[in-house]
Amino acid sequence: MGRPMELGLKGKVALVTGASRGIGREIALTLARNGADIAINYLSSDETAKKIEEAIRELGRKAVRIQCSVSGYKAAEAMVKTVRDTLGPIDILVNNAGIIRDKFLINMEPDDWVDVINTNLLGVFNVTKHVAFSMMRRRSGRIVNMASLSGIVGSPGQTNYTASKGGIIGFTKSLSRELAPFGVNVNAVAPGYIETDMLTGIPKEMLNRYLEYIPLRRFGKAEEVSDVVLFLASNLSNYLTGQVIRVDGGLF
Amino acid sequence: MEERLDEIEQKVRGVIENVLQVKDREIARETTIADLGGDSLSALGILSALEQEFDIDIPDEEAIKISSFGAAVDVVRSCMDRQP
Repeated sequence: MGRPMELGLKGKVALVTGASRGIGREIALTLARNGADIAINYLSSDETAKKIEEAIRELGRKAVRIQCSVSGYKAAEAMVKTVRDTLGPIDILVNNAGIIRDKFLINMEPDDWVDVINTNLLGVFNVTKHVAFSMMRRRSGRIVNMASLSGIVGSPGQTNYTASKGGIIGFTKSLSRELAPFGVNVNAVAPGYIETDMLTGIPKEMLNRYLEYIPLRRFGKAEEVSDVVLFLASNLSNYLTGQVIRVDGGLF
Repeated sequence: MEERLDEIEQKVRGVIENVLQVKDREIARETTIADLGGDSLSALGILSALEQEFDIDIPDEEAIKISSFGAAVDVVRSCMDRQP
């Protein structure tokens, strides 16, 4: 028998952005189940955010929910301060908040581009900027950025989204080098097709066609992504930084 | 010409010299940690050494301002005023 798994999440504070739905929601719950206190950031779904907050408290962990658009620099700063004042300094940051405005480039308006980049990419900068220094000072911390398979391989109708996700990958690699001397690990997760609201807009025939390209012959579940985030937030990945972990059922 | 340093300034200077292993360098208010050969790692070293030397807690919002000798002195003073 090997040593029992010690994830090292007990009493750690995690901020998960975009945590009221989909993958973010699952990440918040998974980290909480494994001992972390959770700050739930959300933009519009107060009711669901509140439910997650209650679920986490029922698990015996502390939770706080904070409504804020990560696209605002000052708002992100205030959010990080609120987390610190209520739960303590942030040990784990999961940059998950993201939106889509899918259109072919020729139909895409500047707002479609700017909104997606501002939430998905600028948002990562805004939040991380206010968290990194405290992690550096404490010589410990984990940052997990949610990228996407489409940010690696491209996807028609998603130039804005894939640009933001590709940007997140570059950000992750550079920041991992900046923060490595301080014992802070920075990684990205690139999910493939995962059963969330983001898939529901896609027509059934198209989904079936996608399935043919997935060696595991099914779409992923949000908890199969949050398990990988848990791994990256835990002691099991101490020697892992600057990486992009694909969770895509073997796609491409 | 360097101005005469008061006690706090002398201590801050001593901490910076100690952490960066520099001696007899001209250090003015606007001299930065980078000017003295330091990087972000040594800057955080200076930060912890200042907290120890003066027995203060420097909050992140203040700490992040410490890039020059003068800024370090200002931050130490304001923290000492707040935590007598």
